[in-house]
Amino acid sequence: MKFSSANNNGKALSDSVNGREAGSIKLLRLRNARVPRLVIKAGTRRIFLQPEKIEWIEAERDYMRLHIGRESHLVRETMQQMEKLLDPQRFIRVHRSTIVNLEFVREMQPLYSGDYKVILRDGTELSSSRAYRAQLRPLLRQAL
Amino acid sequence: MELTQLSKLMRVVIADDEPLARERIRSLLESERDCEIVAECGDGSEALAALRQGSADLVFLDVEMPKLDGFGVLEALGGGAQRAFVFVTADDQYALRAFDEGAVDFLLKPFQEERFQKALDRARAYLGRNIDATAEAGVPSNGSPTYSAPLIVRTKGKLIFLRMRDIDYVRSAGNYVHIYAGGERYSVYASMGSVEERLDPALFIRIHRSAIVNVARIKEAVPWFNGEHALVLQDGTELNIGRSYRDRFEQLMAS
Repeated sequence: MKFSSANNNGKALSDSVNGREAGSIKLLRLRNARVPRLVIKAGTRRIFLQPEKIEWIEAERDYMRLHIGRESHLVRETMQQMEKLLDPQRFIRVHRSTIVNLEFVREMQPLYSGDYKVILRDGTELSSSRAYRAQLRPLLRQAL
Repeated sequence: MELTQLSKLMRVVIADDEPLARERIRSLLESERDCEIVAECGDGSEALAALRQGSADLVFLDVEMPKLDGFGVLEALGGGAQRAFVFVTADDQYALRAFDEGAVDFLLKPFQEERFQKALDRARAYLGRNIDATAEAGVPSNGSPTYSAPLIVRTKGKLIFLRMRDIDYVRSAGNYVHIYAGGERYSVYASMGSVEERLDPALFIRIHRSAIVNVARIKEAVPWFNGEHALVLQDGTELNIGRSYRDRFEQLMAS
């Protein structure tokens, strides 16, 4: 199974797993670790991630693609489950199929439709949709 | 999410052999939303055990206690973890020694609520400073991630997201506030107060009516005229420390 990913600016995608084996994900508080880790089970491998390193997440059919630097990991998870695992202060759902880490947002440009174009620090362009504006509102209200 | 809540709370230990004294502190802390009492101890050895066992950020420590006095507790701990100690005692003869031992404050019983608030603020400033020092290395001192959302400024029809750690300093000029970040200047029509309240207090300090600085950008403090000081930042910018902000700045450096 092969998934194509829009808007990733030609990043070299090194899937941790192929679609057939896409892993389950869970948040783990490792003993002695200062920060919680996300663990992706991919076949016999387990991949440990710091949640705050995830730049953005896009839905691809029944899967979620987590973008981290030049890598991306595909996991079989729902948006709702993903949102539960992540810090809501840092990760905002901007679209039915997109969650973004505010740390990696460079700017947002309002569009005439009332939506926003979301531009990440690496130039990736995403779009927000009005349906999810409620999540953005508290943030935008603070804009100076 | 539980993580963000955990990170904001100061974990407090109260050690005093008088139940009424403990109750007074407990009731004063109840209205503080950033404090969580993790242990109350009736003597020095209990306090020592509690401190060795758990992570505490702030300790209200009586001096005269059975088994082990307040100074004994400090000595037995022998430094290590970053904690703010506030000594609480009815005898002012211990004040000098308390500060000598690195206490952030000394409360003389009986104390007024305002005085207690001041002690809490000192502890917050002290702990904030430590959080900042380790935040640079990406490791929060209390073991939980802390997160402040970026500051968003409107400019040329766009919303620019400025991460707290990328902001160098802020200056006001008339009705405008200039935010300097990574060599860029963003000007917003706002009051200094409204900008200050959006900045992460663990990273920024107000040093003048018209200036707020990211503590991590300070290179040196140099004597100015009339006994005043100015700060030189890593990019060479010089900022004057206002007279009324002097104390807060000195507090930051004490310890």
